[in-house]
Amino acid sequence: MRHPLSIRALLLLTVGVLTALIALLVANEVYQQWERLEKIHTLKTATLVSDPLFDVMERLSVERDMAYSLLFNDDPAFAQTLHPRLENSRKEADAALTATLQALSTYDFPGLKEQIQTCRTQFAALQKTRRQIDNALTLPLDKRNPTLPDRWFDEVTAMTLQTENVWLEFIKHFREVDPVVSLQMRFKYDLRAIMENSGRERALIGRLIVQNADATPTERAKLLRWQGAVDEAWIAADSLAEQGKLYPAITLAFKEAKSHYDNVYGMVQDIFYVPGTQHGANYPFAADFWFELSEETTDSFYELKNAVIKETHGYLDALEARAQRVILWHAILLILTFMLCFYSFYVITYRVIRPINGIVAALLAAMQGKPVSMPKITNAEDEIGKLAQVLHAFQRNANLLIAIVASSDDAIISKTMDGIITSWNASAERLFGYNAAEMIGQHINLIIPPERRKEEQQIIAQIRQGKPVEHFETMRMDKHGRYIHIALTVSPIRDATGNVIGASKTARDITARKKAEAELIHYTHALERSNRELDDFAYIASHDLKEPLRGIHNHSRFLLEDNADKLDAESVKKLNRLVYLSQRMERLVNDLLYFSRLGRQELAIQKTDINEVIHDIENTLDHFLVEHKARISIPVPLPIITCDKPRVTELFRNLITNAVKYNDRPEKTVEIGFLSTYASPQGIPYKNVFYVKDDGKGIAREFHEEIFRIFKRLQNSTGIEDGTGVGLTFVKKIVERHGGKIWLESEPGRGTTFYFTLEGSNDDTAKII
Amino acid sequence: MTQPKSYESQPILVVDDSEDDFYATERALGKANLHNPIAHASSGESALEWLKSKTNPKPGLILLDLNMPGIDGRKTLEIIKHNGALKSIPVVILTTSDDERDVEACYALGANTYIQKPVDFDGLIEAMKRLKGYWFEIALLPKEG
Repeated sequence: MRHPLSIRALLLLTVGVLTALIALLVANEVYQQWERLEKIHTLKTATLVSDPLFDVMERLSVERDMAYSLLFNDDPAFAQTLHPRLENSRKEADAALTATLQALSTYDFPGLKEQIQTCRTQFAALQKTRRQIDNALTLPLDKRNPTLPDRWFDEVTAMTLQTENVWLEFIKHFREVDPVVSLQMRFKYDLRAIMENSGRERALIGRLIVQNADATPTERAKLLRWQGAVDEAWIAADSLAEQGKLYPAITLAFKEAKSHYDNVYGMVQDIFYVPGTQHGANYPFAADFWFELSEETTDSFYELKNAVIKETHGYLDALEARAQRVILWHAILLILTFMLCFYSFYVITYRVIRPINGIVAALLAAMQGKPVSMPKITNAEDEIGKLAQVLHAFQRNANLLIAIVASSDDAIISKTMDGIITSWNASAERLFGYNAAEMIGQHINLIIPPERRKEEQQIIAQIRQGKPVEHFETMRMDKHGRYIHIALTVSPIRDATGNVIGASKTARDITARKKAEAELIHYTHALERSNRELDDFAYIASHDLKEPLRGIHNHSRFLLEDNADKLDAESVKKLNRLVYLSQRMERLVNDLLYFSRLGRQELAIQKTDINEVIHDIENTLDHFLVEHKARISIPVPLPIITCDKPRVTELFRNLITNAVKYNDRPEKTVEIGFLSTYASPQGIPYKNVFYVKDDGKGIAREFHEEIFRIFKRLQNSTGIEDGTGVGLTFVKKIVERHGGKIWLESEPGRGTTFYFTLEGSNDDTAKII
Repeated sequence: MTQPKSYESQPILVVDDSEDDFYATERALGKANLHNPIAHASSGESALEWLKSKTNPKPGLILLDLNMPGIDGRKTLEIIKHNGALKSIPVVILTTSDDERDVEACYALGANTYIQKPVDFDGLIEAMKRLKGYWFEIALLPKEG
């Protein structure tokens, strides 16, 4: 699979997308929190603005009670007590209402304006009724308009309800903001119902006390209905307080208010609420005491309401603070995310991508055969750093390889399996005449003579199987079409998975070697011919020289035999001398022939026990040894070696014979031994040395080399039994044929020791087993 | 004079191009007490001619030199040993050569004995004595015809 994007792009894209996602999420959260904060703020303002409506309703309620009771009583003392309260309530209600409506009219909610307008209209009507009440209160009881109190009652009630409508109309725009606050609003609404209905009860009860009258059945029904509404509202309020999380903040105020209401209204339960009871003027307390009592109840309601408002405001403050906190934390998170994003950009760009690009560039350079120079990467501890360290090591190896390839005397070429050349070193340039620029990308056939292309296919077939081709000698063609003898070594190049993807070829120019080989063959043939000629010469010479020799010998004999009586002593002596010389000459000719064969014939190598060899010689020479009073001594058993047994036997026989012959002692000893290591007096170390030691005359230093020459004797021939002087020449030849060396150490008068080895570099020659 | 032995009527044919060698051989045969008539052929051609001539008796032994001009000893030996009438005649190679190749070749062609010519005349006498002992006194040859 091919990736269209670079790693850097991919990494940065990933980081970018992740950052953008986080930023989006965080920003969304911040936006929502901000919006919520706005709403909470608005809600808070709204409650601050609208809560005074409760005061309005409360004051109106108190005013309703006061006015209602005063209208039924003309006792100046009573009026004195209630009137200031009435005035006070009226003033407070008016102020609160005016201010609140003013504030609310700034909100541009549909329907709200109409409600406010209605409220204002009703308020204006209420002002008128107030003036009528004020007038009526100046009149005695009987002069007062009897319908006024109830009309007043209804109008205030309506006004209160309208105020409530305004509140409801206003707060319905904020119900959705927060469920808890919404519940608290509903609690306030229920509390408002308690206050309104209990207010009505209080007003009616107050009037009955003032009038000192019993409740009519209608009035009693009203009282019971209002009481029912209050009880219902208490239950609802309790549930809402629970749901609206108002407990425990308002627990005390709630209990206080409820117990106040239960106690005060419980006190008058039997008097006003139970049908059939007639009390007339026998109320247990005066009207002003009732109002005092009921006012305490109102105050406790008031406290409860304030507690709720306070709680709502506290709750909203907490919400606000929380939203602000959330915004702050999200802002910090956003900043951190961006910082992380920038850090990632930095790391990806400067610590990952840039070093990798540097390494890639260096490796590309290496591929083009230039010296590799790895970028310096300082962050040695991370993965890239380790990669760089490994590549530094690689660089050293690569530079070494490049140097080797560049300086190699062999042409080093690499190519693909299709034969396309991928590298071409300096020696290839020298050998084939093409430079690297000309050849890289070209087909290898360019240097293969057409008649040898089949051979290249066979090489490729073998390489394809993963088998190298070694030292394959063939011909290639240089730029000028000249044929060159080369030795090819071709090795497969494998990819990381082990597949053969190309071949590396080492071509050695073997033209000089081929020429030398041809010359060598020529010289070898010439030498063989020469040897054969020499052999033939020796053979022919021996044959042809021997024939006249036999004639001279025989005729001398015949002369001696046939003419013995005619010959004088001097002639006989000369003829005998002639016989002797012809015999001697024959031995010389035979030795010459034998010597030439020694060098010509192959050695017959076999396992040979040298002890046995010496024993055989002793047997053969038995007579000779006895005659010369000679003894052969072998201090330590001799080894078994591989050698040409007959030749080695002759070697020892010659040395033993010499040792006995050139010895003047009456009793002679020849010692034969073997030394696994030996150092000559000159300090040259030798291994596996045989020696033959005599106690004879010794040989002067100046003859140490000369004695090995053919037909060289240090003494003049004195008798027919003396050798021709070729013995040591044969010995030397046999030793040399076995790849060994022979030398001697001698002290005149004390004896001579011949040392020799039979081991040479040639595997066919003697070996110690 | 002792009674002549029966074999002494069979001639000995000496084939040698060297007059000197022939003379030495003839003399050595005499010294070895062989009194057979001695025929001399100085070449392969004349030897074969002598052998094929009806007038000549069949020889009891042929002493054959190897190195001769014309038909040499090897060829002569081959012809004798391929000739039904002649092949039973013992042929002793008497030559200067001690080359193993010659020795092997001659035995392969049917030579009965191979002797290197001794340079020493005493050696030659000794050789002839032994030949006499073996071929004329010990060895039994197939009867003619």
